[in-house]
Amino acid sequence: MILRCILRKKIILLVALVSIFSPFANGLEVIVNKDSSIESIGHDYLKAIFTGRVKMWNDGTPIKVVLFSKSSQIHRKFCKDVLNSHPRQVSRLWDVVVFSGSGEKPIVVDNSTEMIEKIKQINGSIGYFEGDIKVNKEDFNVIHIE
Amino acid sequence: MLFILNKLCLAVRFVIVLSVLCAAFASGAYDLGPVHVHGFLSQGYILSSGNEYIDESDSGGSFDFTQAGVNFLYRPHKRVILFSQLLSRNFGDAYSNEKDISLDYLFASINVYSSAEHVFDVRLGRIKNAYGLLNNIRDIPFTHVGILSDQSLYNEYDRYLALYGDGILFDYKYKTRIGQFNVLTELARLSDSKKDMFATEEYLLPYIEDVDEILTKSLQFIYTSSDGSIKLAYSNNIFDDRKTEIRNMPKALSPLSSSLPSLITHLDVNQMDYAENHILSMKYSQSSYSIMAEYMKRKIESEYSAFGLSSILPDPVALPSVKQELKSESYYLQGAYRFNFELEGFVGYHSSSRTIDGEKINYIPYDDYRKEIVVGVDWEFIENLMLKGEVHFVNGTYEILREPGVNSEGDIERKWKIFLLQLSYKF
Repeated sequence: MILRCILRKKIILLVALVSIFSPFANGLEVIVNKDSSIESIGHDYLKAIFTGRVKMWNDGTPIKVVLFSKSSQIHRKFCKDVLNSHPRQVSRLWDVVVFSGSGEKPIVVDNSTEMIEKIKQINGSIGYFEGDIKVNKEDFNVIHIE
Repeated sequence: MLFILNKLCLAVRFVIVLSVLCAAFASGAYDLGPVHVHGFLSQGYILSSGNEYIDESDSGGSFDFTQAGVNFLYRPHKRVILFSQLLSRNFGDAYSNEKDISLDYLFASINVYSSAEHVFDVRLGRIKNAYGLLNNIRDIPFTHVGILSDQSLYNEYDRYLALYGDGILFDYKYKTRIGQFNVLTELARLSDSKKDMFATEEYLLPYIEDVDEILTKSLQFIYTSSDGSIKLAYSNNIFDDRKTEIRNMPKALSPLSSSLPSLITHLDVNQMDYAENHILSMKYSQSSYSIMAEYMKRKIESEYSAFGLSSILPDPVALPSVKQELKSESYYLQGAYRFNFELEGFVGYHSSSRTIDGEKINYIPYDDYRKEIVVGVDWEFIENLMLKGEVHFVNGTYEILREPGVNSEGDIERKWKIFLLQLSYKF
């Protein structure tokens, strides 16, 4: 009985750790261009990228953010679950970037196929998609969120 | 009847322009090859009760509040970006405006150094002044809550001082585990247009012979927490001596007039101004709400050296020079709540007051202070199309429109209201 209880606690702990470090948390995966050497990224840094606060990778390559349109469910889910932000807030932050002359507007796509195509084509790009769709994973790198 | 027809014509014209733009840009922003183009258009309606806020706003309301902008971005090199924005703005006849198209900014942003911890950029050209957190986006409806909700710091009277300058800005960012520290230093020359400088004192324009250009020196520190939820900033702006030569001005237009002998009817005046701002800013954001506050302390020192009787005598009579120190304090506290993806509401409290040489001033009653409560909503009912509305409950007439026959002493009211609507589109 005691052994079973300890085992259950360990399983819960393992599941919690997997859900924290897994790229599949919330069913969403954050992806970057194949040429990128990045394997993992901190949550705050990810948020800074997707809200236009960080504009260059450490090697000086411009970051090209790719987003789904703001009315899409996947974008709302990404903002809420991954960025801990309101889609309206994210939209406003990008408007500030664009109209204050401090950076490039993100590329907006309508579906996962288009997203993956952009990530595949554009050097320095970063985006996301729902991990349960069938894609060729050699077209991009999936990065871990720490 | 004519008045209503005029308003209708304006409204129809706006709807046509908006429809054309909506149709033209329905697919979103234009990418002209490597050039990215974005823009916005907005039309406002202002109705005030008690006092006139802008042209005839207290008698049927005014549509004289139109803003449109288009901006361009071109990246010729991975470390160089060229930014430009053209702006057209109409905010009534009395204030500084860019009714014709003006260059809001045009600069090259050069990334000199970039690493995991340090980023150093230089901006060169026409740049937005490092002045508070909202100056560089003050005219863009989609970038902040409300319509005129930040007027206590970003008001119409000193618009040309705050807006932009031609010069250089150094932007250094230091990223740490606890957040990002950002230092901006700027040296720029402000617009030398007499019309811009004296937009709120247009009656002086016929008598102004020469104005020196103004240099602005700005220093800004910004801290942003690592998750972006907290933003703290301090801005210091110095506007160097502006020398203005005024010739043959009627005595009545001078602040010295009451102390001058009745024999003197006209004056030559050499005026020198120096101004300095200190601004503290704070923003705290969570997913569903934001709180923002800014406080500004400003000092304007002026010295007048006047000469009388120049129109009669070959050597005008030198009058004693007069020094004046105007101090003002302004602040606001504003909270916004996001109800859903389309709707956001806000409430704010704003205050401004001033003294001259330590004394309250009353050119017209209640002119030394203004306190207001603002309540409003932003509703993005269709993607990229936003309707904003807000009501201001105002106490005091600080920086109210002052023209002959407008808000004159007998008519002015201490407590008054402003109602604003604004429809905006972006692409």
